[in-house]
Amino acid sequence: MPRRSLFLLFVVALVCLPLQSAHSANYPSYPVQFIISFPPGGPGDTTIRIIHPALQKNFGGAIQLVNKPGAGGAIAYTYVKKAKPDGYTILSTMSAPLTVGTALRTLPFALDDYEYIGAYAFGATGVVSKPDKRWKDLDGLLAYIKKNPGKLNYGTSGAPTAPYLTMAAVLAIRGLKATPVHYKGSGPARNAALGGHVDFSAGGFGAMQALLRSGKLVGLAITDNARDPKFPDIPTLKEKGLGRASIGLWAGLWAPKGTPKAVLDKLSAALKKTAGDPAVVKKLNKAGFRVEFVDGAGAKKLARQDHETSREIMKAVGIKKK
Amino acid sequence: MGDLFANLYFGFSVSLAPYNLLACFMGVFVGTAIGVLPGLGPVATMSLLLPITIKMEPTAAIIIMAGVFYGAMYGGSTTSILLNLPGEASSVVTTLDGYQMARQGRAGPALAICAWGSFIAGTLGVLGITLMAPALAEMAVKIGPPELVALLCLSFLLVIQFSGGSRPRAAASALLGFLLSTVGLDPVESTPRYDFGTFTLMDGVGFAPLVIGLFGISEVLINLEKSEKMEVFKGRIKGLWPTRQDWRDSAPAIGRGSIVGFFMGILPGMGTIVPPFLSYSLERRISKRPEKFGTGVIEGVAGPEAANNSATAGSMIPLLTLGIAPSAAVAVLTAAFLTHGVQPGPLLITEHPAIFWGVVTSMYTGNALLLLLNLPLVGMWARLLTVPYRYLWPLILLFCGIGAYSVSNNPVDVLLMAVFGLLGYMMRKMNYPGAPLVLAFVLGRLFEEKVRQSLVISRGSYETFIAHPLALLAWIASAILLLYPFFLRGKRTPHFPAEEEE
Repeated sequence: MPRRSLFLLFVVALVCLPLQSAHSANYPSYPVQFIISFPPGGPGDTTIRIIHPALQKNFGGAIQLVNKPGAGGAIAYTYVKKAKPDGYTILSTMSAPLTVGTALRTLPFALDDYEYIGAYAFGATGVVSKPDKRWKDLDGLLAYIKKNPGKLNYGTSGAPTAPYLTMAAVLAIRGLKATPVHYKGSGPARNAALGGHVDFSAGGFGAMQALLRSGKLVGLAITDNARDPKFPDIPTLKEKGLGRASIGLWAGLWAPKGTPKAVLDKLSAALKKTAGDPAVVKKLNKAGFRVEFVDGAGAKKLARQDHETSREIMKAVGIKKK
Repeated sequence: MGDLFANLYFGFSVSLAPYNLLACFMGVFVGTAIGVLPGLGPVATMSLLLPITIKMEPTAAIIIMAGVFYGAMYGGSTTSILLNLPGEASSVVTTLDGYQMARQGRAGPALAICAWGSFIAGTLGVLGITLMAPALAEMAVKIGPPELVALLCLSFLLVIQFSGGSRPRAAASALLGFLLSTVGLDPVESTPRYDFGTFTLMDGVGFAPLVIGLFGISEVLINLEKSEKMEVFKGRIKGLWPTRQDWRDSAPAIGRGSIVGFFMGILPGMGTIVPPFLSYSLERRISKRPEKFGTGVIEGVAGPEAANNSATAGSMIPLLTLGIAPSAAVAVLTAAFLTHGVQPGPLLITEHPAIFWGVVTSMYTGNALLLLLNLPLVGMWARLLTVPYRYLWPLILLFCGIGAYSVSNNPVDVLLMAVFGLLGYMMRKMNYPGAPLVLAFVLGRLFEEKVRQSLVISRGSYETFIAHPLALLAWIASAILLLYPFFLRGKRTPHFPAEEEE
């Protein structure tokens, strides 16, 4: 019966398809899914969408972007952790849920559950306030808080976020008191400072930049290692001797544990080449990110460091793990 | 003023260039299409379009994305009216009277008035952007947590009355909505609540599964239960176009809806969901035949549909002038700007005048295109109702499932949708209205967040809620709303000649 044998052949072919594709020699033989832990428009979504066309070209295969937002990134992280380590499910997101998230609460994933492919875009926490305040810089602000303990309010991008931990750490290191008001994200926190509902705000620096450039807000400090060339007047916390409060915020790629090394290398090489593309760099800069390629091993070290810093801050400030 | 005309002329010279005009058409076309499909909203579609538009010129890319955004508001009413299934979250209210009109064979006029109302409101909204964008954006950020609390209370009082049926049942339904809104991470300290240890519920109940289940699935269940003749509407379609009387009833409602929508759209968190509710309750409040609302009155369709369109225009203002996204859809639009290396914000108008004025003027063109696109479709949609229901309902279920899934690509959302479908079925069997639940659900989260932020800022002093002039004003308005039925009681004559409408 030719029809039946044809059907059998089809079944055999179907069964063999995934087997064959697992061979890294002809990887990728179908589109690779990049899982994004943010809703469309979030910071971790914007970065990957900016690099997507160039990355796809350098990678030499189709890359499909899938948003799986929710639970502060936990849904996407868990999904990728449980995915088959065949190189067809890759996590593309920001480091915070893995580094800060696992410090703040009990989550079903940890730093060592993933293979690190690399990091490419670095954001910072920015501290901003309106220009008509009594202070003109970070020192002025901290001196003012010292004279008025517990009187000032500051907006944060949310209780379980790095900007809050950073600001709380700065205050704890100097022995100062101010009240955090948690908003849902950096945008609302920035708006609260702009509308004068809080005295100053800490949130993602990228979200602040349009208002800083137009002079509606003043930048008091950022957390990155070096000053932003677009805003040379804003000092880093490190310069102020507050480097211990800095937690990195970066975008990277991860794969499930056990993904073949050849696959990781191929993705890593494509990411490196993409991060060197001047057009990509320009767009990421505009969106508020510093571009630097860090390889898998380096990214893993960064993640560990950020995780440890978060835990130290929690201990110093008195935040308990939930 | 001369400046304004020069700018508009410049803008139109950009947006009417063939390539940009094509982009505008594509945007509004896709927008209408996804608006018709329940669940598949502008947020999901715009994020799907983002990688496609990346190769385009920035102006064209943003024109196309914006087109999807406001185009969806046109299409969203279609299934609300035809199938009692809101195509868009912002069209929930349209089901109340729109579906009743369809059942009376008046789907044509309902759909046509939606298209016209959307066109008028959309155009008025863009006019609003053109004339007063910067000033309004500055005002919007001044509205802080305590003022928002007062405004939310006022909104809620306004809408609690709209259900038309029994007040206690509407209140019970709203209470359930409030309770559902507390599921998930609390909005201030991010402590998980009622999530049963699952990640899906950690972010709370999804809006799409809730609305699609409550309205779409329950409607299918109710219809299947009826006899073997399961047409939504049997009988003759009575005219496709609104009559003179329809216009007289709708015109003032469209005007009021446009204003309500525009100003509410600017406020953070209100999005395009709340304004239609407000418009509906406003219409019912000032109507001379409030008891007819919910039985298929055309102003109950025209007002809310106008409101959700002008709200899209309103919510573009904070984006274009401050780089602030007041809703999820606008956040995707922000991402579209950023992926093209353009930063939306106060400097947009000086750094990229072609983009700013091109996009704003394309919205005039887009609204006109939408009208041309939607009016001829009215006849086709109205005839859709003559398709036997046994062919229709599996398709409806399919689209419901796709809609619930596609928002966050999470299969659990489809299960949630089914659960809310059963809940909606039971509520309808027992005559509990679903709309108050949805509204309380939306407002509940924002309300809790703003109350708690206010109290943190004020160090626990409740005085903060009346300390701000705007908040005080909202409270006084609420009090008047609560008390004025007592003064009016007995004075209202049962029938007014329609000519007295202004």
